[in-house]
Amino acid sequence: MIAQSLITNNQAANNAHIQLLFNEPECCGMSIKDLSIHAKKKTILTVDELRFPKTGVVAIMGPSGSGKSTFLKAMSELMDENLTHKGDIDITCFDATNEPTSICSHFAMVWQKPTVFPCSIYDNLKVPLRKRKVARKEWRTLMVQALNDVGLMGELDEKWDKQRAQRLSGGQQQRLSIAMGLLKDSNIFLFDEPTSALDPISTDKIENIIKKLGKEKLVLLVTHSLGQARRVSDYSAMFHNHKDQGALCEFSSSESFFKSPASSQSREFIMKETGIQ
Amino acid sequence: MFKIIRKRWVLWLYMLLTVSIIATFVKPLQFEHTTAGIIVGTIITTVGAVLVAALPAYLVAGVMVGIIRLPNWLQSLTAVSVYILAGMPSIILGIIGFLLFVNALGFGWSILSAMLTLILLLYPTLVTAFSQILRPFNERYGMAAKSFDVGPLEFLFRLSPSYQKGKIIDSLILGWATSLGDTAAVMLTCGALTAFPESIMDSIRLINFHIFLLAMDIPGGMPEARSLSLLLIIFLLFLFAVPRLVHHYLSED
Amino acid sequence: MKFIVLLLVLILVFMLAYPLVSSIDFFMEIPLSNWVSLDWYPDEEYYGMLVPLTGSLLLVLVTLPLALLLGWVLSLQLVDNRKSWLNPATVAILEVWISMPSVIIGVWAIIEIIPMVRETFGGNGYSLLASAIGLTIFITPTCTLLFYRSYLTHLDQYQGLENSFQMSTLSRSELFIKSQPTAVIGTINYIFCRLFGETMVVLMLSGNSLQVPGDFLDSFRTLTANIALEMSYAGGMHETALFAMASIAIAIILIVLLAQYKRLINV
Repeated sequence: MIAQSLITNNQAANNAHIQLLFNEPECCGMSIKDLSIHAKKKTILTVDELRFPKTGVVAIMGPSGSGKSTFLKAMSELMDENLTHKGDIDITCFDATNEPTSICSHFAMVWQKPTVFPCSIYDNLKVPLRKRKVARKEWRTLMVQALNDVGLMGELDEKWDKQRAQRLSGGQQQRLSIAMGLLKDSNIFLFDEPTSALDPISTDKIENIIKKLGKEKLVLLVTHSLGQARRVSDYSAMFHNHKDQGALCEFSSSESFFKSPASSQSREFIMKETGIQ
Repeated sequence: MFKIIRKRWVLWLYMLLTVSIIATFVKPLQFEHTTAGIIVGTIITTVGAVLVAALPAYLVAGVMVGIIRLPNWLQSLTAVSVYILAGMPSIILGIIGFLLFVNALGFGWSILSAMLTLILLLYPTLVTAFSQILRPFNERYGMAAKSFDVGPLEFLFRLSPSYQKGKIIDSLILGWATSLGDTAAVMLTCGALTAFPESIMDSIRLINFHIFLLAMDIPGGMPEARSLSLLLIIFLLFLFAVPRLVHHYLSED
Repeated sequence: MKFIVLLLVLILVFMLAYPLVSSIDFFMEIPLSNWVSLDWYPDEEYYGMLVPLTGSLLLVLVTLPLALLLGWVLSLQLVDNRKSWLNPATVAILEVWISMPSVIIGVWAIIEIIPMVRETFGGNGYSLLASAIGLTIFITPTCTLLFYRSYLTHLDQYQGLENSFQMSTLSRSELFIKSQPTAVIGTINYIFCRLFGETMVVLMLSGNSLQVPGDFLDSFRTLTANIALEMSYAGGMHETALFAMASIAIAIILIVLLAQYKRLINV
């Protein structure tokens, strides 16, 4: 059950359209409170309050420079050293122990440029497995299962474990990095424009994988393509630039977002992309 | 079998050349009056110095590139210290070696003190070479590695060498060539005996020092100095060509 | 990890300070007027360090502009002809040249340069001129490649400007110095330190007589060559005097190097 309530924030008018969904503790996955990211005393992003479900695909959209990628990186503690962030990111729903050292193990990140390490496929898949407490004998079965999940197993030959990972095509490399994220056994997946460098066929394959993933895990997908958001996501968030600072301007389920966007910035964004009033 | 030899005939040629050069120096079964002592002593000292200096240099290169995080003041201090050591002339390093290792620590003129002085000499060269290798690697894969919770040491020792083996060996060979060439650093710390070394505390004469003595101090030694330096040049050219050829032939790209 | 690095840095500082520490009795016993003088005569307790020091500085003064100029001209040639096949070949040859030991260049120079100087100009042959020529040959490849690499990074921004205005060599050099002053000063710094500290080539070519050279054809002695030559037979106060000379050399190099320290500190 999703408790829908429209809460207007008195502090800034731009926060007026954030629907604070998932108020019940059973269905709330990750909640963010008062997040602000600074670069040398200048604030570049603020999010007052935001809650994500336990499973589902959330599309994060917005014009360039509105802080979407920074937002993703802030959550998994992967920012540049020049940036500092303040605020509360609560993932206790997923993991009872909130140890600061293993923040990275809750998130799996897939980048815009397919980033696989320059060793063999087996060594690449070994990297996340080494951190988990899994017996060595089971590694191979887990790897084959992950490769099957992303549909890569059918495209590789028998000696896949010795093959160099960088010889794969772009789409295959991206799917390999998704497989590595799967092996990490984390509950939250972060995708930073995963298909912007790929052709339509690979894009389609990856979108299917994302949809499948969304049924079991929380997926945050930063995308520039409204079509992709419409096809894949269950919820949508919209960032925009407000007075030289990034801010969240709308968050609701995708149906209501695309049918009737509440805030003017999202309306402008959709209009510019599709050309439809 | 013949296909392999045929594909790599240049490598075999070079190996034949080296073996014949070394063979001219070694009179069989008579180790007292040959230059075998000089060559073996040189090889032990220089190779030992490169291998011992490589590990700390790799770690410090990791610090300078940003893979290993240290507080700001320590990072600047490391960078400045490497810079200063790189600019020190080798005779000064020889004097420091003489004062510290020969006199104060009491090692005397021996392979050990020559090796330690050469480590002082090689360390900044290796740090610079390694940081030139590690910097682009870190810029490309650093974020991805951090997202998988790969710590800095694991990054340096498991992920990086699998890709950069050739370049790392290239830098080590560069370090070796530097140490083979530098006379002033070892002049004061190796001895001048040409006998075959039997332990690490034996004093030996390194080949560059030998060429220097032949040219300056030993009357009538000039022709031998010329031929020895010619051989040394050929050996150094070989040293520079080999990693490139190995890379070319063995990487099957 | 912090401790290992700190330990390495402390070892370095200790090692650089050690010659000073060993020569502390020298500085305490011998008065200033003795060793800041022009008589180096250790048998009679005259330790005038200015003799070899002026020799070193004069040599560097003569060689530095020559080497920098030659290196700069060569590097411009290399940059302008990047498309031809000669370029990678020359760069490879220069790299091999850089790693060639100084002994070998010294031996070659004794065979070729000294007779040439002797026949053309008379005198002994072992002179300031010969060592300047030998040292220039030794250091020019390093200069060339340093300038080449920094000019290539400068070109990323200014190639269009240089092409469209068809700038002459002089104006291009001016532009380069104005746009990358730290690179140029860093190169000059580095070459100064290498020239000051170069022992082997100078030892073989300079004649090693204890005088301040008044003429290009006089033989002279540099600081580093002095240390190298006399260390083998020195004893007692003489040895301590040599350590003091080494610590003065360290001090000079440190001053010159640390003038550039701002480049390395992340603020």
